[in-house]
Amino acid sequence: MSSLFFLLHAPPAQAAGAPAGTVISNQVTLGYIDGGVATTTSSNIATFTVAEIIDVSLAAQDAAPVAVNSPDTSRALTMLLTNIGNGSENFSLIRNNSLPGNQFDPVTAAIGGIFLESGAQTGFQVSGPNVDTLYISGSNDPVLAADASLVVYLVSDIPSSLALGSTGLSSLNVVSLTAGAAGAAPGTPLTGLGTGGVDALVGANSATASTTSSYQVGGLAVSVSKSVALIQDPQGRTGSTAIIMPGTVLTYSVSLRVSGNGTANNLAFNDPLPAETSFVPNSITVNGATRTDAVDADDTNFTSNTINVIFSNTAAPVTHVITFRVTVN
Amino acid sequence: MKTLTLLNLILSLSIAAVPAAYAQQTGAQQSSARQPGSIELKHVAEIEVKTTDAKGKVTIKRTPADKAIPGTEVIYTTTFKNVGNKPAGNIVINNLLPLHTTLVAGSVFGTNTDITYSVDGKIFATPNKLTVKDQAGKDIPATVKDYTHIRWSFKGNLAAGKSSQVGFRAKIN
Repeated sequence: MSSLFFLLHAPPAQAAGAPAGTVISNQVTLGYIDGGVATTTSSNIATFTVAEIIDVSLAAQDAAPVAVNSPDTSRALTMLLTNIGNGSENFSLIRNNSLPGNQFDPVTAAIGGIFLESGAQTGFQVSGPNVDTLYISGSNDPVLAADASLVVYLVSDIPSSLALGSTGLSSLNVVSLTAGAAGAAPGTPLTGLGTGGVDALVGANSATASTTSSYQVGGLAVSVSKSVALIQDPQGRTGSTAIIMPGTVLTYSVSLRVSGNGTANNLAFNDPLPAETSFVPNSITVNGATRTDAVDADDTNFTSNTINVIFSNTAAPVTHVITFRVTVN
Repeated sequence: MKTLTLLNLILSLSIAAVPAAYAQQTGAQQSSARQPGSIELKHVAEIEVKTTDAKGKVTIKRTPADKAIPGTEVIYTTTFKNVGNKPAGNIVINNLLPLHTTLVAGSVFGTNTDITYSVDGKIFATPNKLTVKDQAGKDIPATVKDYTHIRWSFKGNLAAGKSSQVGFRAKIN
């Protein structure tokens, strides 16, 4: 991600060529012997101006579909807009949610559909001191110097009741705001419309670019809930009538849920017990089966006053239930 | 052999361009430098414009470079004419290559001249004798990208009333 940051702040390089408006000059000097006298003469200076190439590129930055829930709010797709021309250029951004080949249409987020990276913090910031900038067409159309890049976020709300694994596509389209540039055939001349009034020429991408990214419902999620399943005090009372006092036995139940799609690698559960309780030896069960406390062939041990259960790589969806008992000191 | 063919083509092109260059006596780029002495110098920068007619025939026409985009090849042609009444000798033409451009390999021309190059403006030599230092400070053969100057040394005398041309192509970075 640091590379994005670098691109955003990179000084104008020569990748797009000599800057538009550069005057290139050349002159020769000639020395000779004229009637025995060494003479030097200089030519006129041949000059011309570098015209502007207007062009833009857009690249999706998400390596995989962005995992979302259903419903969900303010989820970002990340794209990198680059001015690949050799002059400063003004761009307009438009998003499209109605694309073929998907199971649902992402909804332009209630907070706004397109955000521009503020440069303060990598990644989409919906709020806080480093909040990114809401894009408003015609109001803050980005101006990029030659070779400069800007991270753009397509921000969407996700409809409810979508099936796990559903995919939704959104695209971003960027056009140069120079009159007559966007969509024109490569090489189209635009007299006097370049940076600083130089002539411009439409580049290979026709001064426009578009890219599509996707959301997928139900990425991988791991959740844990812990509750007291049973209380039994020294007088034999249980449930709501039981009194928590020294000697009361608490049975804890932990539900470890892996949901969505994919595999949770090296999944492990660790629960250090509080000093106010003492573990009841050999009380651990995993999915209803008893486990030993020793570090041995089973997936469970009780070491350093901590309950450890090692599930290794765990494919979703699955729910593991762990129970154990402690005595109140 | 390909290089030779290309060189020949350029030479013939440049000869063909002589009358055109003389015809364009107006404008800053074509105007002769008014210097004392008996050699008149004219230096032009041109680009090639490709046009295709209705029959699909492609013609390449040279026009003075006014505005050009990066990637364009610019043809620099220096015409020198002995306007005096005596032969001129020891003619040496120096060109400090323009910034923001790269010399096109094999494009340097000049009839009846010895052509040498420099990477620093001080030492001029044929390409096989030019070196630059790599990052480790070791001498390595120079390439066209390293050249900063071209020098043409005209062999013998240029007779009164005669003219000749030298030049090269440079690609806008």
